[in-house]
Amino acid sequence: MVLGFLVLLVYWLAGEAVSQWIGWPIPGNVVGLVLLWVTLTIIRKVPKPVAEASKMLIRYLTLLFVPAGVGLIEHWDRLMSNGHWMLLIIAASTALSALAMVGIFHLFRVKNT
Amino acid sequence: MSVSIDLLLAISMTLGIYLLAEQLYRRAGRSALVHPVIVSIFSIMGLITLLGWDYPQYQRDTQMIHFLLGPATVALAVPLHENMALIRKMAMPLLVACFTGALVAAGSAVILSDLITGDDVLSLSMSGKSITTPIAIGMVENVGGSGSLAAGLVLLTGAIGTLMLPTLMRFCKLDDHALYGYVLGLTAHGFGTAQAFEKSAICGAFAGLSMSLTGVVTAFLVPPLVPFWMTGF
Repeated sequence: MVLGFLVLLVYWLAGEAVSQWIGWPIPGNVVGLVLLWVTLTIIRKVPKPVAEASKMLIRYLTLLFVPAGVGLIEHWDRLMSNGHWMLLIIAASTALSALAMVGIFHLFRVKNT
Repeated sequence: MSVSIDLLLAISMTLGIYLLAEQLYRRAGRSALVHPVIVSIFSIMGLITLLGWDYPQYQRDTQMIHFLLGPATVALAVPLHENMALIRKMAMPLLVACFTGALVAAGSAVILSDLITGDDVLSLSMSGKSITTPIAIGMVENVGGSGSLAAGLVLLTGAIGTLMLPTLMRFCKLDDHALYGYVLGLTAHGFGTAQAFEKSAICGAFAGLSMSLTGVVTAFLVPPLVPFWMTGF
């Protein structure tokens, strides 16, 4: 468990270093995700400590972003003045991207899997 | 070892409210409207207002919880690796659909928000609305938006997506469970994935896969493109 956690931290560290080194504005933890994914693809299995640590973190993933979500309190004025537009923009954008995907399925004649 | 009372109170409050919200969610039949994150966030907002705390103080006190988002995001590589086997048969069309969907989801939201509201922080934060929250927070902060606002927009997108997508996809006659799940996961991340698992296991697995894939694709492609989607940049 602790070993698995250490592996995740080291990949995050490596991701952060790569992200700063190439100067591309990608979060270091996402680069770390990709590095770990590549590693898992190469070794073709998930080592037990990594599987355990990631299962635990993902199980409580939603709890982890509660503190950031509470920060919405600082955007109260924005929600009050533009809230209706936010709903409309999100609905429109969701429909557009879903329709674009359906379009791609038709283009490639993907009917079923 | 002495730690400030406020810090202990902030962490206990956050964990306690979250556990209560999870119970409520279970009792209410797992409706997206009482999602534990939404209930927790609004309850804590109410409590810190009552206690007379300010957000920066609460943010500092709960830094320990927030920090775990880093390793948790890296951990998403495990389910992604396990689910990739699903699309081996038709990887090409599904990857093209993911890239297209991710770019349309982010681009249309940023452009529409920029044109309609003219609020730069809001428009920049819209770039992460369709991706899973842990990735959205980091990416949006990198492009100059607000991580907290992004978290709110992501939750809103999840709720709206699960309400409108079933009808929209019925209208498009998309009834294959795998493809349907793939669309749900891309547009409505974790909320969509939860809904997809209620339909069938294969639907849920494809939703989970497209959710993680979209997060990665968006985090890599969108930040350098965002300036081109905004006027006055």
